[in-house]
Amino acid sequence: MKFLVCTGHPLESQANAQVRRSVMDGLEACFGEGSATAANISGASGVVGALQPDFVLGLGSYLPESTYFGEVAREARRVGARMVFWATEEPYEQDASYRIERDFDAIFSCDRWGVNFHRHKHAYHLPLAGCGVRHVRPYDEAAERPIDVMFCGVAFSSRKELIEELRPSLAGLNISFIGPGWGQFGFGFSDRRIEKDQLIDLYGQSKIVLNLGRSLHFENQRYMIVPSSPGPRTYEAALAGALQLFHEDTYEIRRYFTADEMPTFSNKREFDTLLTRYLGSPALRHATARRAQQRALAEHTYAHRMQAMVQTLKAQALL
Amino acid sequence: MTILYNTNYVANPNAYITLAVADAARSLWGADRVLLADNRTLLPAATSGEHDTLICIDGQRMNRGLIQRARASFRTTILWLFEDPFMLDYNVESAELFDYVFTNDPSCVPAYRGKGHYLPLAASPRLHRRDVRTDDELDYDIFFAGTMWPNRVPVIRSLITGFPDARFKLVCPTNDYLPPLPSDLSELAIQRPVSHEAFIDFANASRVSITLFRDYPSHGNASQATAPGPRLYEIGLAGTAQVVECPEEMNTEHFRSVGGVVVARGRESLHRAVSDLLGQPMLRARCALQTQHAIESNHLYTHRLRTIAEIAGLSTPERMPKRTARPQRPMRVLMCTHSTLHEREWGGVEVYQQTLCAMFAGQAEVFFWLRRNDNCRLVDENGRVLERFDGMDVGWLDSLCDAFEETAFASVLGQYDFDVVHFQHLGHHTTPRRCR
Repeated sequence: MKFLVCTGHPLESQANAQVRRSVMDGLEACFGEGSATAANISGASGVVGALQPDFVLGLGSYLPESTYFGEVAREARRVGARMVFWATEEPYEQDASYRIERDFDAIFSCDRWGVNFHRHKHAYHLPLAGCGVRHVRPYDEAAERPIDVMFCGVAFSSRKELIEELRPSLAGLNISFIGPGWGQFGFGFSDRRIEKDQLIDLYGQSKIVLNLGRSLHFENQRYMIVPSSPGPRTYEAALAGALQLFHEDTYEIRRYFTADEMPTFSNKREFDTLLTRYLGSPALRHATARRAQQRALAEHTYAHRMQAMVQTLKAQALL
Repeated sequence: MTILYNTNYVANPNAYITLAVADAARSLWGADRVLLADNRTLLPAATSGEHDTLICIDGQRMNRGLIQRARASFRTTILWLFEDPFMLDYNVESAELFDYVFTNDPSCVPAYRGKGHYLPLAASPRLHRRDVRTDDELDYDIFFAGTMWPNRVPVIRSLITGFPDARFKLVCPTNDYLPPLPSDLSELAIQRPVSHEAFIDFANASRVSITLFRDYPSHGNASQATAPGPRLYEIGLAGTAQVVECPEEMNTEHFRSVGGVVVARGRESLHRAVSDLLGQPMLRARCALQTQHAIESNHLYTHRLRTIAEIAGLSTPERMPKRTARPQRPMRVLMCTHSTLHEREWGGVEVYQQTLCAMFAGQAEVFFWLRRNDNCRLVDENGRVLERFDGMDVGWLDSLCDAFEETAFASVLGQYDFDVVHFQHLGHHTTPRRCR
């Protein structure tokens, strides 16, 4: 089977370039080396003609108006290739989903609840994942983990409110909060942006990694969809061997990890209990993080997602 | 065929109800006999002539102009309101556009004079059904999710102090009009809304779910509903034991058909009900199953739509033949322009219009689409105003599109069946993309 993955600057705002590389690795892991080719969206229609792929995969955000899918879609139709989009920024830009509804034969959404709001006949949920190569670090129990509690991500208002609430519990601990907007919180908080490789290494230096949801929406005014699916860091951190405490604003996490792989908290009281329990027991931390890592390796890499995508398309007679 | 249309077309956090109703309609009448329309597609669909019934739901943000134009295409028009009694005055005005009115609040029925019927909201198997869990599969003891209207705060606090060992799952978003949560509550509650999916999952993972009503006015004087809203049925289908704190104003009759739900009046009976369910896993399982069964037998959206069909005398909707044959009439041309000879101010381009119109000489009817300041008009060749839409002036020089003009333009395109649209002049218009 041959796949053409569309790339291009507008599609690849933020961290999507890396996701695309991981997706391509995932495709090759499933369907053999050389099965996936990448082409910039602006020239992809020419590549479709030359490559004659089975399907053309659009990936990432559909919000930028400068991305035009019509040309490659027409060419794909001409050679009998399926057009498939994996929307990885939903539901935050769902108002703009009309931009992909006509040109694509199937839409996969990273958000389980948001997928209900697509009008497309073939809209399916496909959760994000981690990279079975780039994000994995062998678990080393002997490694020194000088950071007690670590978080990396933009300081969205929901996260700031939560950290205000939890702050008394963090006093006296060695903490590291990294990402735009945290600097104002003072010692232990930084506005730095770091590379993914650095982040993966930082996970390995932390006893506990927090997993907090996002509250920033771009174009989600019509249905005001609250996301239900956990973010991609959940899988990345698990693969890196982090012990995560998940703020349980969605129960969907239980579809991917059990409670003894990824403990959850809903409020300060529960957070305090977890903090005492896990900081106090290295053995418990190691066991929990290892279980989460094994689960992620076995079920939550991009290779698994690509396999699931192809299975769904086959079941729907789209491939 | 039936068209389903939610009048509350933007910023609607309850948009999932539209999905639930559409799903029910399709399963009842067939997927090819139900069309879910929006502001853009309603008029073109109506004028196709294929549909005999229009069901409008919710009632907020009613676009009266749109409904007025669409209604002539249907044999029956139905309005199912979701926001009574809080928006009664507004809804009564809208009701005149419809043949049948269904309201979520029984106290409002008389206000719709003869046309009104009580019809509560319901649950959807696709969105709300979860298997009842065994006791060891449960994560939480007590679950409550809802906006923290002031009347709810003391009830939840009393549960927190009354059940100190219970594991709570509380989702208590506030808003700008409400005071912040007291610290004993904020320490325990998630203060942001969660997805509807998570709401149902949390109920399913909890031993007891609490249902409280709201006592807070939004638009008029009414502060309390006199019948339960959709949450009762949604949580009921989610497979949890449910305790309802029923206010004095609400008739307990409404809960009789929802077996397994424990109705409590007052703090003491609420605590007793919760304590019984927490202490007796068999009782809790029985209640949860009984409630789920009751919802499945009587309180799904399919049941509600059957009631609508019975009362409004709807037969199984049939696909009516599309009006394909062109009517015997001259060609219709719509000229989108900035002015005509019949306006007070005009310059030169209007002369070309006249020349063009004269050249058609009876072979075509020419209409004009005009925009000035806060209104749009459809005008015929003699300057007679056929349609007028009033909206807001957005300043055409610095806006690329304007939802008001786009919608109005779409609706005349749908209604008048023009053969040709000619953009002669875009002055005063934002970009009308609709005719594409």
